Amino acid sequence: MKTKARSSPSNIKLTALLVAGLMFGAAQNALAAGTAAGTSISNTATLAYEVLGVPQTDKTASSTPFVVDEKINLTVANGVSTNVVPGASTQVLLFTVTNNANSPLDFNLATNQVAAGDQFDATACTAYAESGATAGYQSAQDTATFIDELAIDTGINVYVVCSIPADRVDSDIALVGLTATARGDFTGVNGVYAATVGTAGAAITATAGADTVGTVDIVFSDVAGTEAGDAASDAKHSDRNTYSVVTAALTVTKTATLVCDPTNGVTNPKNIPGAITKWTIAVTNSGSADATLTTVSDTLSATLAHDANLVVPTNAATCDTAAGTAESAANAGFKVTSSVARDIGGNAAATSAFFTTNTADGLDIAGQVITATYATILPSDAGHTSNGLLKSGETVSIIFNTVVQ
Amino acid sequence: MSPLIPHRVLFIAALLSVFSLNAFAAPGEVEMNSFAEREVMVVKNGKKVSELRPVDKAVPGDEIIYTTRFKNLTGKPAGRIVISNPVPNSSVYVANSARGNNTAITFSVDGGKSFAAADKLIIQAKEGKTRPALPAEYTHIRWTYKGDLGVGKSGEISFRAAIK
Repeated sequence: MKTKARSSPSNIKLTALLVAGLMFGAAQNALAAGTAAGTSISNTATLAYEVLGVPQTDKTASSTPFVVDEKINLTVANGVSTNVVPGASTQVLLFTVTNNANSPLDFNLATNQVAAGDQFDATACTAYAESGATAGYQSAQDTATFIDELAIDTGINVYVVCSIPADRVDSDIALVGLTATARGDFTGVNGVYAATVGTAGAAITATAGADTVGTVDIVFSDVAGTEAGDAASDAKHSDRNTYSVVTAALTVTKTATLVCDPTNGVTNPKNIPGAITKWTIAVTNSGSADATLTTVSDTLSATLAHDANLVVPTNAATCDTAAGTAESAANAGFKVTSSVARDIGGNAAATSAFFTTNTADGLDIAGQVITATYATILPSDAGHTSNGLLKSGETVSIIFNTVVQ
Repeated sequence: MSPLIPHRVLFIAALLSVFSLNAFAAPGEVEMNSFAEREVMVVKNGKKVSELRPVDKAVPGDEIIYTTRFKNLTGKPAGRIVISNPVPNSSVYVANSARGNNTAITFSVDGGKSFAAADKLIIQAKEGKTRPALPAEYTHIRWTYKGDLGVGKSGEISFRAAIK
């Protein structure tokens, strides 16, 4: 573009040139797929002239027409990664395949497990093309394992559906590659693309050697993708996507602290008959996903009796279920603590609450068996969408006393 | 361009012998030939050089060089020579690519109704505003030969257009 012969101030001129440049760039990008293969292009020039001042008949000349050849090009791109839990089947990884050629094309789809850079391989993978009936993967609708008649400059979702092995742990990832290969029959007039609706077209071969005048030749102009076996100019393109294992990792710890005995009181108590021990059963979710707790059972040794009142002894005399002072109230023999404020039993936004020994309230003892029913102990609340939910990083503990018989 | 001429001359000869599309002009006229070529990089004597070759594989985005040669066979000087050339179908003119010795080159953005130099071409934009025309918007190119073309003399004009 010429920059002279402008009378406008230089800064304005610069802006105008910049805008013009940007617009020209946009126009170039609009050539993404471009003129359809098989289009004939020729150039005609017309010359007018005079001889001795007398206008002569115009002359015209045309170049030999040539046809636009087939430019095979495609793009495979990954979508967002997918979080999975161990043992899950029908887990979907999203990809898109875009036809950047100048004719419609079919595409074969192939998946591969990436060898390095991940912890495991997904299993039983199959790639399916979006049918268009309902957006998103629908197992009943998206059953085609190749892309049929993808129009010029059009992208389509491809779903790679795999299973996740059961033995994986939190934060493991699996990389899965998708390679799309252009297919098509070039049997139309002058070798243009011919649709093969319902079936994948034939493998495509780039035209070797010189151009065939007047006939559509095939040129591969794709770039190399991420996966092995996908080079530049091979009618293939590939990308990879990630399954991330996101699961709860529960740890249960049971700790015992000797509180007192009837002889030594709370100073250096020994495990003699009448001694009181405080037990804590803590459940911690150290994984990345939420967990729904069901029950924990603890069977007391026959030599231990549950302290129905959860006493807090201060000396030898109060080292006794009856004589000691209950931490909460008589027959409140269990305490539940949470690392975060939440609804515990009937208590809103609490970090601790007591449960009775003698009524069914989610923490109960039958014979020597203590059973904690978390759906009752930890009801849903503003921060927990369902009963018994223990979110990532949370701990809930059950505390009770026993008395040595 | 000059180092390329021997090859081009060979090509013209080949074209004329194989195709009869560009018949020789009858004596007493101006002879014209037009052809489409591509610039390709070839190794000659260990050096990479560009050469013009007949259009072979052409896909969207490729630049095609269109050249028209003309020769005065009238036996008298030819005057007021004007060559006009629509930008070929499915193609866009490549900025600053029009060439022609001893010619004034103008362009049209309205289908050949009016012509102006590249830096004077205006497009009517929204709300009565105007903006400079983009090369991709050119519809025609015109070469106006300066002075007379002498007896037996020839000239050559060319431009590049990219396949859309």
